[in-house]
Amino acid sequence: MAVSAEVQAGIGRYLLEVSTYLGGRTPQERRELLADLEAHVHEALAARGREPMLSDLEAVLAEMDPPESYEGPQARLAEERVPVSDPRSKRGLAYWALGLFVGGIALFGILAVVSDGRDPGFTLAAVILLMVEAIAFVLGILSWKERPGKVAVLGVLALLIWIVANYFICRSIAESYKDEAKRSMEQFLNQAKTVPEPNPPANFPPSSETKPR
Amino acid sequence: MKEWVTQLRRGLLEFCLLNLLRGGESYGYQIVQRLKTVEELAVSESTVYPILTRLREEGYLKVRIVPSPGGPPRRYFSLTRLGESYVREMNDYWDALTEAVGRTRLGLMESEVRQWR
Repeated sequence: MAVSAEVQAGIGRYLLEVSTYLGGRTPQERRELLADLEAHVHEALAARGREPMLSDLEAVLAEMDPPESYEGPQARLAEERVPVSDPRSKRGLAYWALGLFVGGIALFGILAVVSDGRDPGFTLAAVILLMVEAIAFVLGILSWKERPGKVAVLGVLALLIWIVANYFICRSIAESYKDEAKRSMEQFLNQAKTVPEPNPPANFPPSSETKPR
Repeated sequence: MKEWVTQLRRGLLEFCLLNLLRGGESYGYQIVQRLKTVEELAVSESTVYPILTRLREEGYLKVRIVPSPGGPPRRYFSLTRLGESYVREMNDYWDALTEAVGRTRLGLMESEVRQWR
């Protein structure tokens, strides 16, 4: 049901007054509460079954709790519970975890490029990466309820699996090269045994008589 | 007595609200009107909406916004999986509690009857 500008202004005034009592809440809580209240007023006006006038709004608001009641015991109860399991307090931690996870990889990449993949720069980069990712993992676990925290933890685990998998792949490749090199060496030595020793030239070693003067 | 009733109502309101949503999603005004039918709870908007906001923040409720032609959009609240298991636990505890309280009251009454005899 559409409301006149006058009625809408009246609703706005009521909500503004309520908002002055919502100081202890987060902006999102305030927005949600005010949206629910605005919808409530509109529903109550619609329930009266005719185009609402200012007198209808006054009647509806008179039936509702006064603005100061939003600072009442129930509101306080909600605020008291906040520190116990408040996901908001973990939000910052979760973003830190995600930041460190991404930052650690970026830093490793930069250091690896700068050092051209050579030590000691590369080892330093790897150590820094492991330390930063470990911190990101711990922060992610502490803020698991938040999405960035979850992303950080799962990201660190995926990175770890990737590193371990790469280690084993590289190791198996190195082993196969080693075996091949060993086989080649053995083959070479066997061939060397079968080849007859070359006969020295007739004038070897050169005698003193043939020495050029 | 008044303070005790107030404290009791506070906890029960959350319990009743979650149980009400077990029947399906509902929007704020509808929830308030339904809870108002339970006179003993003495429900009003200033008690229900902060609880709805908190329960949504804690992950027990989710919101579906449905546009309304004549006013602001309706916010339909429903239980999440976490909310469903939470309300199940609450109901189990409530059953155990009321039974225990009932037994206690009955036991006291029986001892009083014996005393009178």
